[in-house]
Amino acid sequence: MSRPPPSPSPIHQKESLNVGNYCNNRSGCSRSGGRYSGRRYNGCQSCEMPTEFACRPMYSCETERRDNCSCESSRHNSCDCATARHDTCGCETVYRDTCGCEITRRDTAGCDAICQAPVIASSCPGQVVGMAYVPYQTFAEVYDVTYGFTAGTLFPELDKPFKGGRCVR
Amino acid sequence: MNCPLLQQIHAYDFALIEMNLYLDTHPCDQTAMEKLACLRRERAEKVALYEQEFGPLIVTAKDVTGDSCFAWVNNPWPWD
Repeated sequence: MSRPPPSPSPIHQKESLNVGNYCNNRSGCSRSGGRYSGRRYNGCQSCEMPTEFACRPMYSCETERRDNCSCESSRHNSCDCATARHDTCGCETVYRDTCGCEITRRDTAGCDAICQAPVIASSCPGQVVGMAYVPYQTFAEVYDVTYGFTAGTLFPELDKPFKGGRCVR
Repeated sequence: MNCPLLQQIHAYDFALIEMNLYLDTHPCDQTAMEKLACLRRERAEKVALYEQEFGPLIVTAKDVTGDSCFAWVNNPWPWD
């Protein structure tokens, strides 16, 4: 079930050499030039890579994730940090990136409790990254005090069906 | 704790705390202030009804002294 990390391509190797500059130049970089070594465009610091690399989104490649009792994810991003990770019920985690770093970690404390706990499968698939925001509350109609006491809030807009699931590791 | 009147007072206490929390972040919301005043008034009415029937609700109640005795001790105790 373990997924080996993808082999680095020449492009990835090139990018890895410039990962520092790349990550500092993602926002506001001009696409007008081929190379812009030593110059500044729209406030960008100079870097040595072609703009078609410099202005790509940071995480541009595929992401696979399968979450049940064993979670497997394969992630590769254009900063040339490929990661293969496999979590079993033994909670063994292997990280490997093409920068030459390999980390194997095995945690045992608490693993049984995590893996034996019931998993709410419906709350796991298809979850994506998101942005959180909290709009300012405005005063409107409130519950009757007796109902609000049982609901746990006086405000209907705060009466949420909290369906906390697992998938939090 | 099966007294419906006491349960209503608890519900009003909770509602007042909710309004307290809302007004902490909206101190100039006049509509909320009016609701707070309304809830306080209704709670006071419930407390008056309760104390008229069962005696002082808390030891700081105004009629806790009774006529000549400490009326607090006349309340039913938890084991009563």
